[in-house]
Order: sequence, then structure tokens, then C-alpha cells
Amino acid sequence: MSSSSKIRKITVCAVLVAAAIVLSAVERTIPLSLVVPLPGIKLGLANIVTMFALFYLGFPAAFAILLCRIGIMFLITGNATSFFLSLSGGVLSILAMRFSLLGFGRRLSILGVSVAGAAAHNIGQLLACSLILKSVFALSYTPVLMLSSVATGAITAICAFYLFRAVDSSHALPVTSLYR
Amino acid sequence: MCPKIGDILILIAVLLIGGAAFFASFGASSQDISAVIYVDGVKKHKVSLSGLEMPISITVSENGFENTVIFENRRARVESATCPDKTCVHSGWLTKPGQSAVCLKTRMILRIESESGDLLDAVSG
Repeated sequence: MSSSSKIRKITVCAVLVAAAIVLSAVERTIPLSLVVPLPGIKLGLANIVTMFALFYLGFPAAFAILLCRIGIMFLITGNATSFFLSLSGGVLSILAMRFSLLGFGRRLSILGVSVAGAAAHNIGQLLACSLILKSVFALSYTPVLMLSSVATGAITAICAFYLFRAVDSSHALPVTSLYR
Repeated sequence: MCPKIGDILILIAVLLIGGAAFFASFGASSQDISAVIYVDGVKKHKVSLSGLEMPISITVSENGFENTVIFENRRARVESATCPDKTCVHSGWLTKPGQSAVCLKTRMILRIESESGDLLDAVSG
């Protein structure tokens, strides 16, 4: 890879980290609990960035972007519990998305990737909660979160779909070979 | 984007996980639970509900009103109350951590707690 395209790739990654941070911070201000009476559910908009990175930049770059975003959010908020939960959810989420792409290939659209990512994210956070509380009780929230991850997965999939379309038509980045 | 076979499979898997957890949680949620009575915010009585062989009855008298609480194996409820609205009695059997019955007249709260702590208190924000 030429050095200018390496620089280009790093720059794109940095922009994506920034975008993920903004999405992550902004979605906390949306009082989703008013619309849906479930504590602790989030839209997971930062997953849009993770998916984008997975499709257009590859797994290593996407993973790096994920870790940077989580790390910086911790530096910003100083909330260790939330850091641990985010890390657990985020890593599980990106692994689930990666392996669902590897496993299903063309038989998967972005909807499936997104739902898998959302569900894995929630499971990761529940497991982290159980560890913190040393209690299995946290897992009783699983059924509710699985339903919500189908919904939030669908929402982020729609956003990602239009994002990908816009990027493809502007030819800003090479069109991904992974099917969406 | 049109849904493909992989999407359907993932959807089914996610819902199955939810369903499995739903059935599994009936065992898990009743491990090590106890029922606690708070009066005026102060913990007055705590009865462990796991493996309780004989029902226990405790009467709380405050403010001129009385509540009788019955503790049985893995459940508890306010059996009777002398207050006018009796919402505490109507709360019925409490079986899971976090569930509670409240009496405003005696300022009593009957609450099921799990020995290992509550989830929702830790996860806020």
C-alpha cells in the first residue's frame, strides 16, 4: 500500500472514531425511556460506524476504531462501569458481526449483521453486569433485550443502508466486496 | 436491502436466546431471595424466603394502622391491612427481587430482595 493511501486510511479511521464518539454521546441525550419503558436500552447508533468500518475498511481497522471510541468515551466520561460494559458489549458485538459475515457471506444482508451486532452487544453488557454484581439475576433481562435488539438492529440497519448507498454513489471509498 | 436467509436465521437465533433465557430465569430469579420490611425507610425485618418450611407472619403496627405480612417459601405478601385502601394487600404475592408492596398509612414497604444485589440500581446512566 502506498504511503499516501495509508495516510488516507488512517485519516478515514480517525474521522470514523470521531463520528462514533459523537453518535455515542448524542444518543445518550435522547430519552428513549420515555418512549419505551425499558431501563438501559440504547439505540446503539455507534454500531453504524462499526458496520461501516467492517464493510469498507476491514476487520482490523474496524476493531481499532471500536477500541479507540470506547477508550476515548471512558476518558471523557470517567465512568468505569460504563467503560467495562461498553467494552464487553462492543467487542462481542463486532465479533458477532464479523463471524456472521464470514459464516453467511452473500446470504446475509445488512439487517442480519445489524441485529446480530445489537443482540451480541446487549448480551455482552448483561454478562458484564453479572460479573460486576456477582449475580445471575442480571440475565433475567435477556428476553426483553433480545426483542429490543431486533428493533434497534433494524433501525441502525436502515441508517447504515442509506449511508452505504451515499458513500458508494460518491465513490469516496472503494466499493466493498462484502455483500450488503 | 431485501431480507435474506441469513437474516431470518439470525433473527430466529436471537429470539430463541430470548425465549430460552425467559424460561431459565424462573429458576434463577428465586435463588437466595429474602423479603424485607422497611418502615419509614428503616429496615425493620428481614426474612429469608429460600427453604422456608413453615409460614411466618409478622404484624407491623404504625400510626394507628396494622399490616400483617405472611412469608412463605419463595413468596411473601401483605395478608391483611386495617388501612382504608389496602393497595398493599392487592399487590398480591411477591416472588421476584425488586417486587414490592407499599402501605402509605403505616409507611411500610415490603420488598423482595436477592442476596446478591439488585441490577437496576447499578445500571443507571
